[in-house]
Amino acid sequence: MGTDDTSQVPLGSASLARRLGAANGAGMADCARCWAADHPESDLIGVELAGGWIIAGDGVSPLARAVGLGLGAPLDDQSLDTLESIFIERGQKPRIDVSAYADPALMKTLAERGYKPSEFKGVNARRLGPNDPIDHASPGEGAEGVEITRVDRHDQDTVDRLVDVMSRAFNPDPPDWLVRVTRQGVKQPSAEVFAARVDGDLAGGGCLCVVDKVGMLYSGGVLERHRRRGVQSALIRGRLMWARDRGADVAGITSMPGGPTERNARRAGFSLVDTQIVMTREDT
Amino acid sequence: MSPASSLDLARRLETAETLIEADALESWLRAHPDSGGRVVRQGHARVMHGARPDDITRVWGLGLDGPPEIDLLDDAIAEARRRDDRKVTFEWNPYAHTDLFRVMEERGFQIQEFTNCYVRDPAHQPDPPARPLAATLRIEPIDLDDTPFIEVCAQAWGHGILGRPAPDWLVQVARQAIAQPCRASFAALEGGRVVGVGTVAQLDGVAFYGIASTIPSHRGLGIQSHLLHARTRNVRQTGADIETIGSDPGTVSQRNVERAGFRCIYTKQIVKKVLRAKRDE
Repeated sequence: MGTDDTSQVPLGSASLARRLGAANGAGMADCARCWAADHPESDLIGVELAGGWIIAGDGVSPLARAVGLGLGAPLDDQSLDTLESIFIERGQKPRIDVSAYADPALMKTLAERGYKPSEFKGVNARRLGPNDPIDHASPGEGAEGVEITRVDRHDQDTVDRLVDVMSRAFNPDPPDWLVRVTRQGVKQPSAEVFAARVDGDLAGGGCLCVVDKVGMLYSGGVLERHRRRGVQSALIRGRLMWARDRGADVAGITSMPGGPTERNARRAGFSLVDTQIVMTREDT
Repeated sequence: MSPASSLDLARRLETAETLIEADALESWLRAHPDSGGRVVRQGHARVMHGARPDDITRVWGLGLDGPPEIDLLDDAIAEARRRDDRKVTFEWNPYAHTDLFRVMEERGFQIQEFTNCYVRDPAHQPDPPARPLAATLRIEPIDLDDTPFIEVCAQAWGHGILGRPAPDWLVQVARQAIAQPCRASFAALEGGRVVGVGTVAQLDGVAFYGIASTIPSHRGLGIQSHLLHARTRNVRQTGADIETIGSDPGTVSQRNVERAGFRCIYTKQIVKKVLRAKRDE
């Protein structure tokens, strides 16, 4: 168990959970809005509602969900009606990530409306600050031949190759929607994008979005043949250093319970601050 | 703690907690064989049918050994119906098998609330409570041979949990738990009156902090922080290799636990299947 002060989550996880939820939601909504602006044919939308965010549209996109709702105040029926209509108009089932710190009445309300739990998500956080262990390690330390570099998002050729690698890191034969969602994350104006190379070969990549001094890490993936060499850890470390050096005092990452992202996050000093349950209304 | 051992750790903590609680209930059931209570164990899963007049069947640990133990759950629901229980509750661990989403939906379970599981390394040296204990208060260990005092402590615990004097059956179960040989218990006293209780039980290297409350008139005085500190000193003198405590998200208790150096490792969903309304509803 780590004992370093800078790798421990600050006291008051409820407030930290709210902060991370806000940063994550704002980043996702920004991503959706920018994609929609560049692709008028897309029905993707990112809107703020009742203190949270709704990202809807784009078919089976995993981005499509409502986040951060009910964290600051109860969610009224009118807001829920609005939320549901936004999803239903786009042919999607309303899906809400409910924080353990959300207003307790929200779960009862959702059950009455026919929502069912469909998955758990962990929200993990890590303090960033001076005297952090990441200061004493280069981004590629511990992984021989690994190099982490920031990608110029205007370098179309590199972006295209990176999107291909990151998509195939999640699925060797990625469906169109996965490639599109990866590209949306990479093209997001507020995102910083990082590439991992092993002995010069593009091996993986990951994104970072800093909102209100919270650095949210997302879309980190490494090709199967380059795994178990510390590439993912190096990608996380590189993004943490970048976020910290740009003023972020905390970093966040979401994960599936027991999944590889959770294991990598624990190794990098992240601790769990919130478990969310994804509630989906199946009868729409 | 290995980052790859989340499921193993969840199994270990859940097992220690439920074995300790099952042991307390079974001890009481042996002395009260006609009470209607019953404990069923299968792998890491547990079912506890409360002793009358408790009308809740509680289930733990489903899906920690692979696909959920459907027969055990269905038997528990059938037995709960036969007993005319009010509801069946289940503490759903996020590391449990994902088939539970289908199993719970098919049986009509609904999410009731969240509860956090925290751990702490016994090597961690927590700071003493920030606020000194009022001069009129003192913390004392509970002597397991002092049956009358245990009775008073059990009453105080029940009062703290319910916010009013507890019914006799709940006091009896608490009395049994406080007197468990695996448990060290402490009382906060004002004069001769017990105003708070905190216990820690140990099993297979796991120190489980539970059975803790403060009566309503004495909350906000830092009593639980001092009771936690007393229990911590006790655990340091034994061989536990991990400490665990539960707390609901967003509560004063959570703040105290985090200040004491515990960190959250998972959040369980407490789900319920309502079988009938309360008698007085």
